[in-house]
Amino acid sequence: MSASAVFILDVKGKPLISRNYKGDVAMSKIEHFMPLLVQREEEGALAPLLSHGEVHFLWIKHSNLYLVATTSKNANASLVYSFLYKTIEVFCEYFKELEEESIRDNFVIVYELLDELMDFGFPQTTDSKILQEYITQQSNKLETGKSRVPPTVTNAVSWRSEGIKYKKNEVFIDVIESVNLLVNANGSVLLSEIVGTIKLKVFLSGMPELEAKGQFKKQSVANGVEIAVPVPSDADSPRFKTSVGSAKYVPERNVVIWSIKSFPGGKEYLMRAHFGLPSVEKEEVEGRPPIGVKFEIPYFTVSGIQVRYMKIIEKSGYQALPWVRYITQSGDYQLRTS
Amino acid sequence: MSAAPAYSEDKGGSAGPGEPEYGHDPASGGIFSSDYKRHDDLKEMLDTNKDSLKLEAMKRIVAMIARGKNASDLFPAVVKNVACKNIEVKKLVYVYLVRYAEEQQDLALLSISTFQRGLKDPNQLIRASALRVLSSIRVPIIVPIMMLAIKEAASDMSPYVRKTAAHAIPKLYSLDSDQKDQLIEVIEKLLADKTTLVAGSVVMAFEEVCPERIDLIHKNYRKLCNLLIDVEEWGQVVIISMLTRYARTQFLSPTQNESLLEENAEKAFYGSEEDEAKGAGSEETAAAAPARKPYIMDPDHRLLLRNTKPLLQSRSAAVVMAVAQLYFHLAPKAEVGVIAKALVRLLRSHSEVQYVVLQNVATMSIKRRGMFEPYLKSFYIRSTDPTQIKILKLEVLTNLANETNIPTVLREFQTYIRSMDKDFVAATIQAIGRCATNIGRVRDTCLNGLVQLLSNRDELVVAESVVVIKKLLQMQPAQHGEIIKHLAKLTDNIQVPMARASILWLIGEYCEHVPRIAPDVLRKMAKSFTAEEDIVKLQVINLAAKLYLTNSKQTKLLTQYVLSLAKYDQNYDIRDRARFTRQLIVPSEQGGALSRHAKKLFLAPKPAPVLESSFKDRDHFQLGSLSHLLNAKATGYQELPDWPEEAPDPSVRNVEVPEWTKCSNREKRKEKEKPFYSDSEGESGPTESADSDPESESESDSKSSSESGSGESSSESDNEDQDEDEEKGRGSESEQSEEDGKRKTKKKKVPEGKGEASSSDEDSDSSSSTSESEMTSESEEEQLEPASWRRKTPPSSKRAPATKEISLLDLEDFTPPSVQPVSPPAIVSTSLAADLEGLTLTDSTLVPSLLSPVSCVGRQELLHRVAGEGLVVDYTFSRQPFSGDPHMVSVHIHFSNSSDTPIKGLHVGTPKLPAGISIQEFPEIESLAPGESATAVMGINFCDSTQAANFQLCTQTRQFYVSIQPPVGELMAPVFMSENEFKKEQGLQGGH
Repeated sequence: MSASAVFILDVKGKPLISRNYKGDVAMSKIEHFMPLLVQREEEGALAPLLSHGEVHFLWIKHSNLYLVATTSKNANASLVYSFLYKTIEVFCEYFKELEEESIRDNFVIVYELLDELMDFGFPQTTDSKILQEYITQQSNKLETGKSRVPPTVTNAVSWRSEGIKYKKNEVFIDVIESVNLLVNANGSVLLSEIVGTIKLKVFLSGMPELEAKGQFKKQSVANGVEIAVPVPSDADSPRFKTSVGSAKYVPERNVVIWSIKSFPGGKEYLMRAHFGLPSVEKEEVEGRPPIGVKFEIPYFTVSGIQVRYMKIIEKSGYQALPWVRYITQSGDYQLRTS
Repeated sequence: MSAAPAYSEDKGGSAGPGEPEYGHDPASGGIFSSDYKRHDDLKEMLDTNKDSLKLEAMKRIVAMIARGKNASDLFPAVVKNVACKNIEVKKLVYVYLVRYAEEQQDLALLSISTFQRGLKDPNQLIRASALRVLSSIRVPIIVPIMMLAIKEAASDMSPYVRKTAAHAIPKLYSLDSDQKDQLIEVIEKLLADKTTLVAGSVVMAFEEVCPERIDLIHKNYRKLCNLLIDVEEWGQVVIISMLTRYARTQFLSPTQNESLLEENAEKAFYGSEEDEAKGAGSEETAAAAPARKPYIMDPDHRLLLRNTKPLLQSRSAAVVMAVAQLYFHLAPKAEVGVIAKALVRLLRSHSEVQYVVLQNVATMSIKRRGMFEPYLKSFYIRSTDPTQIKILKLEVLTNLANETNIPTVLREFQTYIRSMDKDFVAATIQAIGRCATNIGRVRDTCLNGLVQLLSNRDELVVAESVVVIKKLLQMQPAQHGEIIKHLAKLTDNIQVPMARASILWLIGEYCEHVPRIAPDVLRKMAKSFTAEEDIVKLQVINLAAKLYLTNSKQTKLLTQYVLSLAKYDQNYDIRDRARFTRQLIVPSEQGGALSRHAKKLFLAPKPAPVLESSFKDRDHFQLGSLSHLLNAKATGYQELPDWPEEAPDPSVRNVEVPEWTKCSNREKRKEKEKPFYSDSEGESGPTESADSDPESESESDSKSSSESGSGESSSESDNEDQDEDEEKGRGSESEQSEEDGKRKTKKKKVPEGKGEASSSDEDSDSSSSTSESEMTSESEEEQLEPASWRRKTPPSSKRAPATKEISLLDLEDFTPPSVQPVSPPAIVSTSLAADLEGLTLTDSTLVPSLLSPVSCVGRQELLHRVAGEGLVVDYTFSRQPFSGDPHMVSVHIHFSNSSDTPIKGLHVGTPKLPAGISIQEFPEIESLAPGESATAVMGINFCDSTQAANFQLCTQTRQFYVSIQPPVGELMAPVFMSENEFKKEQGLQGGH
């Protein structure tokens, strides 16, 4: 149903660590992975699923690591990808960053985690909070011995331990919306959508039930605005004039980045940029990539959603404080130029 | 596993001690990098009694394993520690054992007894981990032991151990498939398990071991459907996938009737453009359908659809995908649409997830175009998408294009053609071609667009366009002589073989439309023949043959020249083709019968190619499976069965008593939370006062209820449904204000008044005696105070009779409260204060007008006996405007002296007030004898805020700092209103 083995490879395709779960696919098959990847990349047909004969590699890339699951069976692909991403999530919880260095520094724990995350190719305990209860980095928890047992895995509710206590019972609610926008060259909006997430950071004792009610209702300031205007790759001698903020030419990306710290609503700003172009015309025509915009608007939600109330229902009926924060971020915000 | 050791040994060799990359690795340190001693060192550490040393050694060993180094020679030293008491060490020993047991089977047997002991451990976790490791040791000799352990664990008390047992089943099966029958027994037992923890794992085992035994599911079907939502995400995926298969064997197709109607309609609408297969399919169903009974969905089928639907909102992409495929395969056509939105949402996920989702959407959108049409724009391509994603989105867009949206789609495609990503541009041109073939109306537009692309500066674009144009022209060649001429000219410039070959084929095929150009093209091609690619050469031969047949006068020599060149070509295909063609077209002495028919052979009318999606018919693979992604059967693929013709017996799923522990828990929880709701909605005042207020309030209520309604109403409220409570929280306002209207109670809001809803609640609660409001107050009381408290209160003897109360309420004149600061009723009140609190004032027949409204309000403590050195001060809100100043509320201050000396000169000292708040002091009380009480009235303008009024209370000798904070509900007063006025007012407040 799922993976036969999971590998973590470095950027050159060399296995850093591996765990064989089922033993039905030879571990040496992983050697085919990198050549296959390179080949497909050259063909321009790189897909997250590569096959070498009977063996299929489902892989994802994280920073400069490849996480590869091998299988020869009819696995559930989305389950495997979900699992691989979950694995990254768990590792990041443990090591903050998941990269070659952190794997090398933590072989034991990584191996233990791989052992716990999956059993015989089927995902097991994948919640990092629970895992952290019994796969610990410190070796000083020795003396407790048998009495120290993580009860959570065996609970009916596997995602929360019993007997959690906080001095202050607080809930932090982040309402984050990201705006995806696609605008035509002639300015008409092709697609606009808001992807909203509500994130909770919960410091509540016991096992409360939470109930939030949001409501849509209907001058704000955007912070850290960054506008990336693509320019031809052979442009030179840039000169800028901006009414506000600063502009910078980034030749590696072939863009001019205009950053504005704070952009109040209803305002209009202007940037003028001059570039020199070589007089010789290139054979190939370059496409004109879209203009990208990044920004963040605090205390504001585009959809106008507001958290009306947060009910915290717990047996003991303690007082708890909910804190709410609203942020709107730019999602995939593209203005086509051609 | 067999190849694994070899692999690790390899790696061990290559990543040996000298390997510089591992030099910095702190886990290995300098110890390993030296020589053989390293293992002695580790062995020594493992042999000590110190757990810390053992642990250190085990960590190093596991680090070695993790890096793929060979640590097998440590097996004897490690295995000894399997019985180690330390759980950390034990865990690592387990890790080691699982890795090496297969290689060192004999030694591994040494550890078995430890696991057997572990299986009996009182700690469920140890039992589970012992079973887990035992089942992971792939040593055939222990199969019977494993079998026994699994059987025992399957009836363990702990669900966690049972879950582990379920996990162990496929492991044992893969080790020894002869155990299948016994394992199926265990699976059957575990399938009956009622805990969510076990469900996912046992279904997983079922799928691995005996997916064909669908009969095992019958009895558990409903249970699985019901607990699905509580299973963890991985389990959900497995269960949903299995249930999809189950449903396909047990229920009838929900689409059998609709498909007949809809597909025919669709076909008529789109005419010949609809793919062949679809037409054929619908004909089949059309033939079969009339024979069937009218379709009624099995309730179990419905149950599955209903219980999986909420999972479309799951956070896990895998779960959403699983539900989507379930709906696609099982739901009636009208209901499949719900998955579109969920799938579109997944497009915001990681690109790998997008890849899977888009493949599935592409497949679905062929069969069910309508369901994704509203989301067309969500499939627009962004320049940041990876090529594979772009191409898949393009596929979806093409599938979704129809008569209405084609202009939008084509405009979008135009943008894509300018992309830098050449593979993507090529795919876009193909897509335009497909749109042109599918939608007749835009064929010419597309063709013109493509012709324009022929002058594109990018050769790849041109080449791809040529290929697509060629296909389009085949549909109506007669009208497009001009385009063919244009293409003929391109042979001079265009170098892409496929494009050249396409042009040559076109010219050859339609040479009668371009009779003058064709021979010239052949002449040029003959010249460059040797330099052409194979695929072009073949088409040159083809062109030559066709021209020879139609226009031999001009081309005979050219053809012979080309054929001679081809005869000596390096490629045998070309040589063969040349020989074959020559025999066909050139009449030989033998008078070949074939050559007479050569023209018919070469220039037969050819059907236009159908440009169709590569995702067509992919839906015969279960969606979401790897096989679907590969478009090929992967090992172990379980074919999704076709719907049965006749429904199998549905009673097999009947279970005696569907017992549902979870449900009852939930209900209980609900009950508990309900009071909370009604509470929070009814009371809007600050929490401080809310604690004390309701008590006195309900106190007064209980009084009125015992008068009129008496016991019966209280018992009623005991049985009161919770829902009603909640309803009352909201409904009380209007309910009560109605009564108020009837009684002509004079009620007037003080200008500072806030929170009308709650205040009117309290007010009318106190004054009303109808059963309706009683119930409200009763039930509130039930929640807020112990029943015994109420029973303690003496029966109504001391309370005002109902009639009196009503008369009190009818009074319209309000005597200024300041008139009687020290009044007899106040003294009465102190004597009764202990159990009646505010109520007692109603008792007074002497100054009824003044005091009745006060009755409802509880007393707040202003100064405690200890802090006040014997002086006790309480206050109540009288809910009347203060006579001196209409902006002020009157507050009754009750003093009583519990000390044994008289208190003299009671007055208000210099108040320190927040902006806007003002106080009208009460007249000084000259003396309060020990044991005596007095009441004074002061006015406070809280200025519409709930901020506290702070002031000093002074006696001759002392000063006390006190503060009065108004609960929101207290800033009001009764107001007189006619029924009509009230209704008018009510209309204005309609928003509530």
